[in-house]
Amino acid sequence: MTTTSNASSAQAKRGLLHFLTRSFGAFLLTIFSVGAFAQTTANLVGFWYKPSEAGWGLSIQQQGARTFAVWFTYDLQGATTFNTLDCAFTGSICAGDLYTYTGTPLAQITAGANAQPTKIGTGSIATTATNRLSLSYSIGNLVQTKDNLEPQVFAAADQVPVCALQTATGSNFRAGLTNYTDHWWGGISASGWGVQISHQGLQVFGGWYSYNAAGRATWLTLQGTQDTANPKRFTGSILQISAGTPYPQITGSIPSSAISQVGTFELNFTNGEIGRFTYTLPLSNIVNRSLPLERFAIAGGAVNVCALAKPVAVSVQAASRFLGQATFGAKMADIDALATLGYETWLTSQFAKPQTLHLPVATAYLNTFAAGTQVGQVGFNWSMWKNFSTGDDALRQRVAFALSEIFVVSMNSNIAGTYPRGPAHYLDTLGLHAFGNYRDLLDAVTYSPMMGLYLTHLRNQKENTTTGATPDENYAREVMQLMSIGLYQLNLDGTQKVEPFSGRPIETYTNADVSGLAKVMTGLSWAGPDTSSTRFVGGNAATEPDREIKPMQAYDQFHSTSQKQFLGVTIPAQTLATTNADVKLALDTLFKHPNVGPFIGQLLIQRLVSSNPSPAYVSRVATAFNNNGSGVRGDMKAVIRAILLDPEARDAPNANGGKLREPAIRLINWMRAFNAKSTDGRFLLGTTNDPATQLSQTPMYAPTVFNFFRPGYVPSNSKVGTAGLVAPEAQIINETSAPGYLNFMRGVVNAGIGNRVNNVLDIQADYTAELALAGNPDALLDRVSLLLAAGDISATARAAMRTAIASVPIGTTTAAADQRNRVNLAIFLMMASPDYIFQK
Amino acid sequence: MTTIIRSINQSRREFLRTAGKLSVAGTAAPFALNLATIGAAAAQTATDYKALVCLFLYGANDHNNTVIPFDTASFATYTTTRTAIARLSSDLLPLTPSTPLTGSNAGRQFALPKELSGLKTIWDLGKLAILANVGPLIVPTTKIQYNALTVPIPAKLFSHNDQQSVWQASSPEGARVGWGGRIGDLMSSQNASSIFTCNSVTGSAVFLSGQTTIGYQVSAAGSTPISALSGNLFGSTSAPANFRSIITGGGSNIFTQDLADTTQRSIDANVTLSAALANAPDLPLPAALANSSVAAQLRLVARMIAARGTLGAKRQVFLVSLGGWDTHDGQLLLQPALHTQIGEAMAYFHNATVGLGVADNVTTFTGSDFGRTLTTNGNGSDHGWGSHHFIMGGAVKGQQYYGTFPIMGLNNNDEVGSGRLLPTTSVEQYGATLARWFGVSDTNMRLVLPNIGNFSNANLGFMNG
Repeated sequence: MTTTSNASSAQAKRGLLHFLTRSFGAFLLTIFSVGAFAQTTANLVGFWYKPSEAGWGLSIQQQGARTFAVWFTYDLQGATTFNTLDCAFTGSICAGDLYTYTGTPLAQITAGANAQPTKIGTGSIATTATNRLSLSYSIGNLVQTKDNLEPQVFAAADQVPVCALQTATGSNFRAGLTNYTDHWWGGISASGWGVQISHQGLQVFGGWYSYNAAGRATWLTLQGTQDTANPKRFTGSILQISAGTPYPQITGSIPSSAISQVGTFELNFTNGEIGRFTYTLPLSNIVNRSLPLERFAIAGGAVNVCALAKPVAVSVQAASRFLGQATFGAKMADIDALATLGYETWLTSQFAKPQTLHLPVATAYLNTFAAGTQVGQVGFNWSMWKNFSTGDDALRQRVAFALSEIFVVSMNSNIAGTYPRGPAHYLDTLGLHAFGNYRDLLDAVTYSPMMGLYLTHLRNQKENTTTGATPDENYAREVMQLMSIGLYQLNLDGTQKVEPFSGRPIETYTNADVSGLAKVMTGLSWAGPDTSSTRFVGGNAATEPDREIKPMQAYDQFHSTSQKQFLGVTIPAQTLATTNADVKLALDTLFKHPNVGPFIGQLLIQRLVSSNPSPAYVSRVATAFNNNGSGVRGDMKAVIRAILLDPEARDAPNANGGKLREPAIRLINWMRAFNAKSTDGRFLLGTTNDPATQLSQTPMYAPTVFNFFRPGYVPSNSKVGTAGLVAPEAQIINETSAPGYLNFMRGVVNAGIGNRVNNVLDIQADYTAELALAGNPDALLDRVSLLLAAGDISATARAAMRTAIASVPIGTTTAAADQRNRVNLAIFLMMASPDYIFQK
Repeated sequence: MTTIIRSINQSRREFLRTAGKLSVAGTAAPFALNLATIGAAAAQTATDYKALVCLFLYGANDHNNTVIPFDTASFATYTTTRTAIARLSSDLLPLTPSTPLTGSNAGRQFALPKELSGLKTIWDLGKLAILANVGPLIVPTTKIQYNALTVPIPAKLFSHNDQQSVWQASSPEGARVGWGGRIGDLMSSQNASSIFTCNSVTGSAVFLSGQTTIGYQVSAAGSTPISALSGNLFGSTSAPANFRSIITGGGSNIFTQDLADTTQRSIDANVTLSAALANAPDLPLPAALANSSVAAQLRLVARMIAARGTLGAKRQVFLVSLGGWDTHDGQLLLQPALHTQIGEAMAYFHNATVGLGVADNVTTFTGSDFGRTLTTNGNGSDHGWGSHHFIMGGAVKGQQYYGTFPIMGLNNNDEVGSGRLLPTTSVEQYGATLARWFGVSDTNMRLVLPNIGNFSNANLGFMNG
């Protein structure tokens, strides 16, 4: 990491080149959505582009007194090329010579690239306003100015690093940096090519400057994500732009069709100074070529240091609390990771996780039986416990469960036993759209054959004027009441609108709307290769063995053709039935209803964070539903982000905040906190419905479409009721289920849970870390309290726990048995305490 | 004798405690204070035992296939209107009332589906009555008034959760006090332990929540002890005391305090009830009901009634339920199986009360979300309003119909579309008749059923005494 400070002009130019290329973010626009701009200081380091001309841009480096700009653009033939500008600012303007280069073709580069500069003209950059630059150039007879270049931002504002010059102290001055934004090259002995990197949040964007087969300057870009398990590793795609517009004629953006993936890459940083760049480019016959990289620096000069402006300051307690809301409960590894990453980055990483699917588990179980065997829901049950407790996509699994309590399909119904794969697929569908758009979720639910069976609109038929038969109203009613708009017109903040004089709430729909929508929901039934009446009513099942996991299809002959009116919409009488178009119009109508944001927003807040959100909290979440910031309505990621990052979720708990933890979630909390493993590997556990001996709850086994509990439930003669609050989960906490849970958990903590295999229950916790603390009751309680209750246990309860733990002397029987007793007491008493059961 | 003295003393204490607690609320709660006062008055007069048992059919039982019109003209209309979900006459058990129907019901005949043979037996014994077309109403309502909205109509008709709440508590979901609980407020001071006044064997329900009464939720197997409260807990004999303090300690906010209160109530109730049930007769279910949840619930009710002396109970309200009645689809497959269950379970329960010698003291009645459409959607029926219901017990003037049966068919003044019945009797009249038998005075009835004053007849006449 040295370079000469006495370099000749030509050498300096060559060095520059190595260092100059920060690929710009212009075409990022087409790939990343552009968020708010980072508020930069006078430091201009980074990528700049013009949003209206996405596809070209400028990368700026500042070190010592020098400013280097790389201009990524297209030559007169439209091929990618780059030029450089080396200058020093005088006032707001930095002017100098423009160079282009030739060098060793990329496919042959295994060390240096022998870059040779050629002056093509002069240029300047000027700061014109905060976060605004212009680029001017004079090349031959061409004189142009491009103004209003903006910094490229592709992560949340607090994930964009702020860069500043610092005087290097020692040769490994930057080894400790964890933000890799900078110019990286092969080093002085392998100069001439390099990668300019912008690292924001979990994303990395790279501009790889090199030379094409003819030896002319060219560039490719890298787009990748950080490995959350190994934050020094990034992987992603190599992209190329073909058929660009020659730079003098650029007036618009590159079409996305011009961008193609040409390879893959991996960046592995040893530390903040050095790393390796490994890439595969099939068209160049390069497979896993791996070359060293180092961070560019001018010896002795001030170097650029980029770091997040806002230090991530998440305490382990705050991390545990967040994980209790966002997942099925904290694990120590997750607490540590979140405390390091911060909420935003953790969310971004979770949004990017591949979905852990339930269907393959249910299918694998089914396949252990002879074809045609009725196997029930056993495989589905196992999958739920397994994926909910171990899925790497912990946020998605948790939100999918929350959605299953709004878009309820229950195994406590005729579905159980008959459809071994359908329910698993339904849960996967909820998980898929959990990070998608609510409109797509509504569509998928409506067409789901499991929902069709459960709320009986599968094989729902048009009215029959001869017999007087009318369409089934079941789904039409409940999709409005429970899954989209609710009973009463709502303000943005979830409070009810009222009639001006009577003060009465205003109903969202009448029974006539239900009947009208019921007509729309006719003509749907099982998927299959034909739309015969036989298939509609359930026949020909053998010719579509996957019908339980495929969306229902339209059978127009059973769809009502008469006029349909609902929610102010009229579908005129039809000559030919148009089932799918009618359903689309109906769902669009529901989707556009102003109630959806506050209604669904409040329900999800209640499932994840708080039973009694303030109207302002609901309003903020509903606002995110209505517009994700980019004009998109129904973006579930925006809703989830708004729910979990809201001050009311993140600030210190207030008196009305929080919620009772659902009994099934408490069991999964235990599985996760103590890394429970299935000896069999499949999590052999069935239902836990019995109130007196189990949990009063199994996911996806609600008693009715109204879920296990109602969002407005007020416990009888309670302090909560007196305070005018609700406690939905309390609907399944009573004089029978409260002791039932305590007895159940006593057994679970001690002996695990699940089917008995070789006389051992299948699901067993790993208490290794806790056993190591058994000799120190305070440390043991610290750990268990942190894992289960975010460390938020009242002093009285904690003192009682400590006394109980200390009452077991170590060494009276065997040390191991006594240690285990202490661990059992710590965990059981913690999980029994009201301070744990209520999630603050 | 000891029991009786204890009972009276405790009753007085209970009243004083209750009244004292409520008076703290002062003028803010005059309604509640009234109830407490009435409770004290009632306590001075009750010497016998009575139990009201509500069997709630969650999901909305299709009344059209439960009490089926059987005279020739009505049955023909029934068959042509219901088409695919009409029952065959060969599957029906005609009922003969002790006195022929008169007035607008003159000439009408009705039958039960064969799956309700258990109830047919009770009917023939004169211990089962049928109440026609009962449903939520705020005031007596005609179809003209309904269409023109010239009278108040119950909110959120046809919605399950809301109409369950209206049935149980006179207002939609969100209601916090039900009429079973209000009756409990009046009666709890007569019981040695107020906790066993209102008992749900089927989870949470607003029906049993009163101003001061809390519905005690017990399992069909009885009360549930907490194993860790005694003995050796993970190697420690002192840890159970710590455990007890943790689970009954208040915690840090009102939510944790409510949870701790529930747990404390559970512990206290279990001490009393487990001892009482240990000495109560077993009253085993017949083999056919071995897997029936509702039968198991009713068995627990019967056993608690058998233990009433030990519990010091004089007035008790029970709630049992059976779900699964929302037959939008597959009705002819689903409903008969449910009918079989309730028919046999109710017959078992009635026989159990006869065996215990308390048949005259126990009245069982059915409720449900609403009735269903007379028309079909192909193989099921949709949400309705008015419905027919059963009242069973030794004090019931049985083998008789009460209320007014609707005109059979569509497009008449008794229905509001697709055969959804406009009720001719309100749930509050139904409740008032039962409450009156139970001991609630006529003058205080509107404290239990807030709209009862809107109806001229608060006693439908199906109860003796």
